[in-house]
Amino acid sequence: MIANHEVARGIFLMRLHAPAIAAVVQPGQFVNIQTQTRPVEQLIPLLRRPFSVCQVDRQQGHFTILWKAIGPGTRLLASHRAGTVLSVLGPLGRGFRLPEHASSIALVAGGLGIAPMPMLAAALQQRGFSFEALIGCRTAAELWGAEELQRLGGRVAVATDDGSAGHHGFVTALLQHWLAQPATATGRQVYACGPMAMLAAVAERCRAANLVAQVAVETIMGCGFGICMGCNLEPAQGVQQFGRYWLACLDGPVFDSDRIRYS
Amino acid sequence: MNPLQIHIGRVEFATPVFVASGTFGYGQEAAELVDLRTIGAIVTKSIGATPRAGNPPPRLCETPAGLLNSIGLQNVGVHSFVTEKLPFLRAHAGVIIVNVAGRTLEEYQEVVTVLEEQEGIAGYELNFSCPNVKEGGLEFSQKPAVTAAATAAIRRLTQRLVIPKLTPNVTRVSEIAQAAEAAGADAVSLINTVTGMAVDIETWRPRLNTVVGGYSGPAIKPIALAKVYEAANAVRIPVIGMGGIRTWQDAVEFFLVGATAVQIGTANFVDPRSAVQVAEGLRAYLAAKGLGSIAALRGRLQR
Ligand SMILES: Cc1cc2nc3c(=O)[nH]c(=O)nc-3n(C[C@H](O)[C@H](O)[C@H](O)COP(=O)(O)OP(=O)(O)OC[C@H]3O[C@@H](n4cnc5c(N)ncnc54)[C@H](O)[C@@H]3O)c2cc1C
Ligand SMILES: Cc1cc2nc3c(=O)[nH]c(=O)nc-3n(C[C@H](O)[C@H](O)[C@H](O)COP(=O)(O)O)c2cc1C
Ligand code: FES
Repeated sequence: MIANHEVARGIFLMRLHAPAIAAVVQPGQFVNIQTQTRPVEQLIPLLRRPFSVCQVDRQQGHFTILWKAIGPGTRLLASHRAGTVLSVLGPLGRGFRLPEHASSIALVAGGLGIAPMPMLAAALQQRGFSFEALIGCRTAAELWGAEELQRLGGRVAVATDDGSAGHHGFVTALLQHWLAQPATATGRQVYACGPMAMLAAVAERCRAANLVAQVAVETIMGCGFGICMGCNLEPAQGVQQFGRYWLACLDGPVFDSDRIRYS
Repeated sequence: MNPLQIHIGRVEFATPVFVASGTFGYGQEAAELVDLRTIGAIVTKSIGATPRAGNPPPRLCETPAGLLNSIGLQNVGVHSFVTEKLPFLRAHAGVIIVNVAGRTLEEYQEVVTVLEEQEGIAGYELNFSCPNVKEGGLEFSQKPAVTAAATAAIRRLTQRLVIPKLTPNVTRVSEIAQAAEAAGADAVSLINTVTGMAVDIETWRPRLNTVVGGYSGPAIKPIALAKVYEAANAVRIPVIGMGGIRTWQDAVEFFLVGATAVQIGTANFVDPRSAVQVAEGLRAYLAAKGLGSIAALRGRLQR
């Protein structure tokens, strides 16, 4: 770990040196981090914790994760200083599919759902796509990513639950507004990440506009690579998944919004 | 001489450290992260006669030093296993043990009959002890007579290893182990998960969709050791011990109380190389103690 500092209230950006991961990771993929550094002695938490890759510097062999302390695993992350060696497994999962043609693109982030967006935005910018970033969070103090996404060429709109910055209300209201604008002929693409309830609203709004969004889910994961079967998601009604569930770590974490059920 | 080599029946294992059913998929998922041939044996996820979707989410919940699950035997069914999973395992793994589960005795027989046609399988671990399914599962290993009848029925179908997997959720596991031995089992493995639950105090709801589930991980090691100790003192066939093993030190405890081999379960989720690392640790431990083989450790508990 190279650096770990607070970038918004209670929200931290951790930079890790891991050339093998940095070389191949794609937007929307995640890593599974063992948050304790002395695994033989420490048993809490037992399992790794998944985090989206936020930014990557392939030349330096670095990547970052954006995280917030909520439980025992993330609290441990707060205690690590630069130079700490962490066990990191990745890159894992299926990331976002990038569009083939110039499209009008919206990135929709709710809370920590902003985490995978900078890397996605960088990939879009590199391919010459412009995009609009719709960022929602509870309050201005917890806002991160607006400047970053602007720097990557995006037009940014913000919504806060308490009205302390940007639109007073949910980020889905910004999406509604975006969807109401006349679309370009080449079609539109919506990418979203955030809590399940927000993803459900995004899916619903897009469905009404005849769009299928790409949504990144954050289910609880045991292993992150398909051996525990603990990260199952219900398929949407009518979606044939061979009588099975989706596994968020293998089939996702990015899904087409009409493929999953939001429960 | 390989000090870690063991035999169960006619089957030779290069190390006595296996990976436990349901905690290693069908091998393929972890093959990028660990050379499957360096693992003593791969015990597959439980296989039934037909595919099963398993239980609805959430079906995993971590507690301090333990893991609750209610996967509910999600599996591809024996026919897909044979066409989609077994060829990969045969090509990449050492010893393969297929874990079999059923709702009825007939289902166990059906699965074994199909697998008997297939090469490259060393034996069957019979999941007589899954707490996460409504029918079958647990009740097979809660009554000695039922364990005996089911074991004998499978014994008649195969020359391969027959290894009933027992539950800790009984008063006397030794009686069940003896019933399995008398019915022709080559070994018994224990323990499957312990029945457990967890509650969310904000929502007042159970943490698992199924309310109760199977408890595994370091938290259950003392329970597992006691059950393995009891069973190993009651039977002559090998006992394969598991429950909470993460380190070679954990494994040494199981050998001392009488295990012939051990399996690693939950620890694979953190590091799929756990079984290999435990074997390496055991090798160093034997050398440090001046012991020529792992068998010299077995049952050496001093009292
Ligand atoms: C693919 C994926 C990508 C993720 N990316 C990020 C990220 O970039 N940044 C980030 O901060 N977090 C991310 N998460 C969530 C992160 O993994 C959880 O915050 C973390 O596991 C919490 O661990 P803990 O030990 O601190 O808390 P725990 O004690 O495990 O959990 C505390 C509380 O947090 C909630 N929680 C637990 N696990 C999750 C989860 N997986 N998702 C959402 N809420 C959860 C539960 O309500 C729980 O009661 C991601 C999760 C997934 C599956
Ligand atoms: C997620 C999960 C799934 C499991 N699935 C199976 C299974 O399909 N069949 C079986 O016999 N045991 C199953 N088990 C039990 C393990 O094989 C093992 O007996 C138990 O977890 C105790 O070992 P551990 O503490 O090392 O995990 C499962 C355990 C876990 C944690
Ligand atoms: S997290 Fe283990 S299977 Fe997906």
